[in-house]
Amino acid sequence: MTTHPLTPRGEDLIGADALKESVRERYRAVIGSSSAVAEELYDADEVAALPRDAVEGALGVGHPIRRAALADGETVVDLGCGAGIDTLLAARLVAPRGRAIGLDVLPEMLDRAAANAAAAGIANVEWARGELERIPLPDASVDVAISNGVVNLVPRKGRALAEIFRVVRPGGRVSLADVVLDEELPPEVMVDPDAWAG
Amino acid sequence: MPERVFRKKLERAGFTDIGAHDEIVFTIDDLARYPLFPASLIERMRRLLPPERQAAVARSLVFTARRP
Repeated sequence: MTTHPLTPRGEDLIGADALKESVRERYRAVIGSSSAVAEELYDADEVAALPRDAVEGALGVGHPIRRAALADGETVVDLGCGAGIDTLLAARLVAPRGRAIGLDVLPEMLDRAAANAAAAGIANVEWARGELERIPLPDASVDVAISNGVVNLVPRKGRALAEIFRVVRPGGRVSLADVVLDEELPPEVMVDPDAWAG
Repeated sequence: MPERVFRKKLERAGFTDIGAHDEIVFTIDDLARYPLFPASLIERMRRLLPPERQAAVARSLVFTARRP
């Protein structure tokens, strides 16, 4: 396969491991400082019913739960849960019999998400540390997988989607909000690791 | 990655009934609201991208699909 020099892929430019570490560093550095993203993406009543830290930690690019058709009793995994805004919203929709699992690679984010769940009084949640490329869940163990601006951060996106397929039960579904680029950004932007954080 | 590539990767993973919904267009000002992007990167993009591209730097979609 040939790659045009002006349309490089991130992993071609800075390496998959460096890309992962860069993304993790950016997320570690961001402690909720603004509710601007949440106010743009979520309904006012959803924002009002969640702890402030979960709202300020929202870094998604859409509202995957609106398309997930979650129902009481279902098991849903939020891939790359961050501070937990989508996990908490999902947990409420599958309660009382269902549960939500928040997965993130950063223990700092899982701690924040768990604290936010406790503050919201939401008990039907579990937390797991792991990567999308190696999801620490059994085969066919969830009804629904959601994510919000996360697949685009993974160097091996095909591998991540194959893992998501593995953990969703037959007949189950996914709702993945993500960024698409119809036209490449200039190479001077693409070579900046910070450009791959969103 | 482009929408068609995302769809193709979902298909290759084994998913069916693939759909894309709820498009949001991100301007450079929208991106600047995300604390993940440092000011230096936003400034570089303002300098390098033509005005029409700054009005539509990227899109987001909600991809839905089912495991058969």
